[in-house]
Amino acid sequence: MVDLSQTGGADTISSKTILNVRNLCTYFYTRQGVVKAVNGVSFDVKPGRTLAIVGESGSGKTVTALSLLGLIDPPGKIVSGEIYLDGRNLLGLSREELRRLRGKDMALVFQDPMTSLNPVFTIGTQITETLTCHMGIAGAEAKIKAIEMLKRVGLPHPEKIIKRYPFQLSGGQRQRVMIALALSMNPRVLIADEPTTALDVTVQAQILYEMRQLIKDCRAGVILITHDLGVVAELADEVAVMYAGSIVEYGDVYEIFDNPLHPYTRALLKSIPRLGTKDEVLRPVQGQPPSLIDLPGRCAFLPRCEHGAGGCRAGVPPLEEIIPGHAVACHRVIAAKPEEVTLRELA
Amino acid sequence: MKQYLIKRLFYLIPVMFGVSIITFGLINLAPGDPAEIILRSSGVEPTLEAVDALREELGLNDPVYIQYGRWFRDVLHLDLGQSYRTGRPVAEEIFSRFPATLELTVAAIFFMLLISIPSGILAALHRHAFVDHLSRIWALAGASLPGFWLGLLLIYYFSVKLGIFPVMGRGGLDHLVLPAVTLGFGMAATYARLLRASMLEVLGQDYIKVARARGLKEKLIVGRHALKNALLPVVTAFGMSFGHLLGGAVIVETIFAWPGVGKFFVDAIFNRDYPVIQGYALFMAVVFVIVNLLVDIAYVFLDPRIRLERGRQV
Repeated sequence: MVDLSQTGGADTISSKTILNVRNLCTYFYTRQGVVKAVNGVSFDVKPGRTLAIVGESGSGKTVTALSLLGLIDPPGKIVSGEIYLDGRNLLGLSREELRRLRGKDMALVFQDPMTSLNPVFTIGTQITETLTCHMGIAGAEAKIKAIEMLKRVGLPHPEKIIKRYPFQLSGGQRQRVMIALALSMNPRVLIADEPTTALDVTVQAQILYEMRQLIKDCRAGVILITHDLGVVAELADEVAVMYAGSIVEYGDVYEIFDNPLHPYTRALLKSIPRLGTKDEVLRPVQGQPPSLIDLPGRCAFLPRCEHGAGGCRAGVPPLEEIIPGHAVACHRVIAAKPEEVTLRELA
Repeated sequence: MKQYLIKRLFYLIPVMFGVSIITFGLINLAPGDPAEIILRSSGVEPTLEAVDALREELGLNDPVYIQYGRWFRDVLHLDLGQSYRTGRPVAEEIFSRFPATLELTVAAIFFMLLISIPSGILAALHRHAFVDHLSRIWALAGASLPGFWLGLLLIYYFSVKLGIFPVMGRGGLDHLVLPAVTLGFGMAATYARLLRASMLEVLGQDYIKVARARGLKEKLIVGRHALKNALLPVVTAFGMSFGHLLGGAVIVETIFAWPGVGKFFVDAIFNRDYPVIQGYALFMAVVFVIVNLLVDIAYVFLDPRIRLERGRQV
């Protein structure tokens, strides 16, 4: 489980984890002010395990992913924090070193397969250039490897697919191509940013199933970014709930679903419509997320919190481990005894 | 692809038919009696009898459609009539001069590409930086400086003062430099800005972000992934600008005494040499249509979506 008391350098980091992120802060310096998109995020990723980062749009999920890859463009900047991949601090690397690592040790599957592939190059060209870039193979050899990769993600007739252009493939096919591309180098960490959001529901299920198999096979650590709790239940081992640029709850997937502690997590879970119940009214999380420019010096969720009290104004709540492997950033929960917290009267 | 080409060539027939009617109409709408002009230009006193005789000889008394039919039949045989001024066949006059104009235009396009592609890319990559501002000022200058002024300036500085390039006339490569720069300057500036805007749009696309996430080299991302997409709108605009180049060539040819069709055409206008004006208009229309066809073909090669979708349709 995550030991959040670890905040130090590489030597203190557990050898079991591949990726350790500590106190990551990514800010965007805009004319309106400093947007604190990611504000002190810490998590670990283990081989063969999937960490889901969940939250509303604008909660900092995608910025977190892009920060890991070193793909934050100005006016954005990683202000502070540490990102260790196999004990190596990525923030100390040169641009060229980072580039060599991207796509090879850390791969990304982006949310929209429709726009993730270059429209004017064939699938084959786009796969082989990645192979040339990282493995130095080209020509017939690269082509054979490309076909092999497409076969691995369950695409029929891969020898035909490599000659096609992205617009000639369906959404599901394109996302499979993206997954094939991402997994081609057997990355240590795979970042999947809303991998199924843009797909049909039936295709979603297929892709999720296949991804689970592939992840298992290649033993990569996976960061799954999503707002879809159904996908989380399907794929994740651990869950980090993000709100306004910070992680507000972190724990094992069963813990999070069975025993959500943060009011925001509870509200998110309640907002999922369920079939077969008489309750036909959708229950959205009330209110709007706060502006990330001037975050208040208190709990950011307070204005939307059903249980907010005077004590919640006493500074930003720290992410504290309440029960082993389950951390939460809520003044009320932290103040209460763990036994009381686990009572379901609030659920 | 083949079918697409055949279809496009087939479309040329109605276009050319329309063009031929308009150019033929020119001579009929123009003020003055052609017979009278011919007589005057050959130094004969245009008496009523002489004019009548010549009208009869030229078939100008026949109904318009018969005149058109006759003219059209001649055009099909590449006979565009004879110049009133020189007395030589118009087709021969145009064909003997066109290579010079083509040479100038191609050189101008080459200059334009040489300047606009790198500066467009640089301006996009260093947005709001010095390079970008420089390219913006240059674009403003390029769009507002008239070609004749720039041409004279270049002649003064490079030919008269420095003596690097010849002042005028056609000859070796050195003769070509100043006219080509004069002709291509404004367009190069415009195209650099166009490519910059197009590059900026493409660089913001998801597939560029994904290409970076795949660890591709920045050079490959900019020079291949972004550029090929960014060139699409530029190529479209280019088809339309080709006319400006040919039109601009008239002025540049006059300044540099370049023996092309443009200069010949200006002389024809001053002399009311109708067969030449008519022949030139028709010839330029053909050139235009062909250039647009070539641009469309280039587009098809750049963008597989068009190539394959059209292929399927046909």
